[in-house]
Amino acid sequence: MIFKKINTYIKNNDGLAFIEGALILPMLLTLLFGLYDIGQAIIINQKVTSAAHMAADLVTRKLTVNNSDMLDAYGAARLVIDPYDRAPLGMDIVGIQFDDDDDPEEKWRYTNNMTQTPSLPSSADGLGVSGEGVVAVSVVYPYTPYFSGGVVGSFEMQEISYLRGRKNSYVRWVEE
Amino acid sequence: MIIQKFNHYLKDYRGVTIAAFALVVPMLMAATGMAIDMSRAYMVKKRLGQAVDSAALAVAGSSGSTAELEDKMDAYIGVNFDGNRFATLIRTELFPTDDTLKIEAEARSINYFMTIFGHDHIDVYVEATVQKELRGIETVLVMDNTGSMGSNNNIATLRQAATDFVNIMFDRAPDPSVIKIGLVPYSTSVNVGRYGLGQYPDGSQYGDGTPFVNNPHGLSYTTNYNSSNGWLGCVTEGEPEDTTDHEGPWEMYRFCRDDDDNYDYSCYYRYRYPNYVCPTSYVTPLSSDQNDLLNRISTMNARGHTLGNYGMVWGWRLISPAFPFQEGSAWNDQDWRKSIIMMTDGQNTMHPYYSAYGMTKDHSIGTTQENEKFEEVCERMKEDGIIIYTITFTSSINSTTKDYYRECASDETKYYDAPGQSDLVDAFQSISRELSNLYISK
Repeated sequence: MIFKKINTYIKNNDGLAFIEGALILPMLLTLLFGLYDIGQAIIINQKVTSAAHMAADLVTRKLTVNNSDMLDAYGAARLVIDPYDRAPLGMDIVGIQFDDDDDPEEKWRYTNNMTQTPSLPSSADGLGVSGEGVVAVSVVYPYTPYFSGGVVGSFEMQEISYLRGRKNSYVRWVEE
Repeated sequence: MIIQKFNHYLKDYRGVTIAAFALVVPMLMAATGMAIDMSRAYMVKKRLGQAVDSAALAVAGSSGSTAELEDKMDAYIGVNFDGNRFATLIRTELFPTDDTLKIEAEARSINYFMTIFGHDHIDVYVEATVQKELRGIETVLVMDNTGSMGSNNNIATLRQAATDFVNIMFDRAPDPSVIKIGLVPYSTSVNVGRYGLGQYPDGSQYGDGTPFVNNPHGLSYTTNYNSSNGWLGCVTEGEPEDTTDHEGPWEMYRFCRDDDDNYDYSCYYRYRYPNYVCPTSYVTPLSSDQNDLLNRISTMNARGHTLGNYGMVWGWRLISPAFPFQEGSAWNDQDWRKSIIMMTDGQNTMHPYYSAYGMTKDHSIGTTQENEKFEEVCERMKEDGIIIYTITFTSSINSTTKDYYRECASDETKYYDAPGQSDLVDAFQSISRELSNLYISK
């Protein structure tokens, strides 16, 4: 009797499709959600790249800049991030001029919502000679994957852009 | 019996999902992996595109040999592309022509997944072409022609330095039309010459012929410094509007003369000629005529006191596109850069009896006020986007004056202290090289 029941249980394949589904679904979902997260990461990364370049472009079109130009540049970069959350966007802008030894020298700096990127001025080495200048923009955006964020955590996307002033290679800071 | 069971197994369709999935998984993984690799290549292309854009802009705004431009291009692409992340740069190439610059760049994005199928990388290609900026440069030389320039024949050194400057600028320009130079010799006042009466120095009509100097006594223009009744071309004006009003009209400079052009008996020097200590060399509005500029420079003489602030104001009036001198390009004209070179050999001092502000007893202002006026004019010029170079000449100049001149320059690299005659020549040469390097690409 018992032997027969066990035999029936082993042979019974009712609900097998469901069990198979239960095995396959997590794999499919992992694939799907992973793709979503990676896709979002790629889109945001592109936006961060654009944001840094756009901010640098806005600043370097000017001959002189002041605090409100910085806010404009920051505002434009925030718009680029749309429709994603703009609040975490951080920006660090440095006006660099090359000294008598052609070494880059930080002349002014505007930092909003992030810690300064220490290498910004020094990395400009070689971009100009004494008297010339360049504007460096560093943009950071923390990205937390929607599905896998709990597992992989949040990581920071950063883009750095160096652009030469258009009217005068060194963009001066003039207080309002 | 066995045949029947086998038949049943073949007919059984339940449990096939896992098998099907096992077949599909590699395809799904491959497709996903391809999508990721392609997206990464696309990200690489985007960064490379922006790096190439910034390099193109930087190179277009620079000058130098092709090798120097290539170095600059590589430096800009390198710092902006930051190849370590997803890809390596494999090729950058610069194609300069007379009026355009083309940059081509290729980067290799290393695949993670497609390697399985034998594709271990994707190469992305980007190019950018920019119109080379063939900007012109407008420069006004504001030059000290005061009496002290006569010592050691310093005025001759200044003439030499200015001559070198003009020659270097025109020699290095692809075409004389991209260079416009104006001259403002100054001392106690500035000589606007016959232009003040709406005429060129030869008497033909200048501009629309509108005079910008009042001539209530109907005086005739003279080039004779010792003329007892003619007007040599110097002007006077009131202050503080001298730093804000640039439309005129201005008054004629009549040394120790009253409103009726008679001797002012309160003035100790009243019997001097009416053009006394007016610089004999009149201003030259912005011009591309190299020979004429050199001729004008050769007429500079040492005479009178130092009103550097007044020379600077006229430098501004020359370079501004507005009346009275309209040779200057519009302020927002992207094709032209405006610059001023201001030199002095002494502190600002008013003549004890008469100056550009009229009778000193009625309009005396001290050195501090003159320095402040100078500072104000400098600031406004910088706000207008004018690049200012300043030079303090001779070793007898005091530190206050040096500070004002250092502060006036667009940045400290544009201030030159020239204690000796050779330093003055060097300063002018260095400025001319910098100006032509930065703004007129050959």
